Amino acid sequence: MQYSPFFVSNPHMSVRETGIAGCFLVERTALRNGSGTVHDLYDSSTLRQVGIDFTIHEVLLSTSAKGVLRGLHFQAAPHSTAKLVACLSGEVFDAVVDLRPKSQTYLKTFTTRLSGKSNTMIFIPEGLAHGFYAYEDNSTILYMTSGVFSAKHDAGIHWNSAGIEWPDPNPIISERDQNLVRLEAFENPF
Amino acid sequence: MFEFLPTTIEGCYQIRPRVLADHRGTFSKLFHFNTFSEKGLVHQFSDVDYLSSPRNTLRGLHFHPDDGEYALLLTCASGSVLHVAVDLRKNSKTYGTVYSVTLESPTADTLYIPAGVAHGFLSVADDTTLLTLASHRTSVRSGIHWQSIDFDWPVANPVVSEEDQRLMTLSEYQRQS
Repeated sequence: MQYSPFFVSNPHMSVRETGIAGCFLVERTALRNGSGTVHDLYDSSTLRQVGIDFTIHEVLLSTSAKGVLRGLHFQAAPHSTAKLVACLSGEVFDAVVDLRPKSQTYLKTFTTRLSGKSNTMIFIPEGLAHGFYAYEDNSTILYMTSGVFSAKHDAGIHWNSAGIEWPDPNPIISERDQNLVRLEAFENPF
Repeated sequence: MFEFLPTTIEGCYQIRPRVLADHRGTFSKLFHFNTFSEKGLVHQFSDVDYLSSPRNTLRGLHFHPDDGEYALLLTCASGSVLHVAVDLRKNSKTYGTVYSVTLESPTADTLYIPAGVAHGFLSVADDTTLLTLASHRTSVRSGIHWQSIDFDWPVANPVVSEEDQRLMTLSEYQRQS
């Protein structure tokens, strides 16, 4: 996959850099349609113009209660996947960390708010770990991924080991996530 | 991973994902490329939209010409949606059949609508949102008028766009095709 390194804007979308190589914020225009609104989430021809080019292999939907943290997850090489992440309702604090040793932004983190009221999505390339914290009940996150799930390659690092300043020091978290290996101790598959 | 429930329209499925629920919330897979491919279903989706509709908004009925490579996947992400589909494929065993189902969040049941089947929906709850995956963006969209099919809509005066209100009737469409 190739990523465009510059800012792009057209009437329907704009893409902003995050400071992590290949990771972008994608803003789409919400269109009024009749009495409601239509949000474009993924349109292959428009996204291709900024170098985001992948076939959707999975669509995943998660809902989280206020105070829930999920992460930091990634799928290990050679089954690593890129993903486009959108918040459909509620609001989350979204975080990524670059785990690619060869990347110029290796170990750099980026955080942002994603909300159902805005239409900002985050494009996360292969080799980044991702997690989020729900500010509101019923925060709904949609993932569109470039590859299918592989249980063997499903992996993660501990949420509080990558230098991310989470909004809550005591989030609601699964046992599995709480027991994930810390960044400094994990074997890097990238 | 999914249950593919047949509907009264050939090639149209209600797809039930496995929803994992715990104290944090829910997690479900709505689409899996390989599974759809193995099942012989359309599995290339290059246009994803998210529609918010206040209660009593009706959209449709829209369809894409029967070219075999187009399909629509619809998931209610919040609220509740009454889906109505009509089979317009003359060579189909279920030609003319009207199928309806109410799908609501958070069951995440998804409706798979093949090309040649017209689809419309009515939002039957406040803050209803529908997630749609389409095989490709279509600028030429055909449609038939919502009141011209054999279906008892549960509301008499839904909010319908001017564009949809001007669509031809089912019998006009059948005469010209």
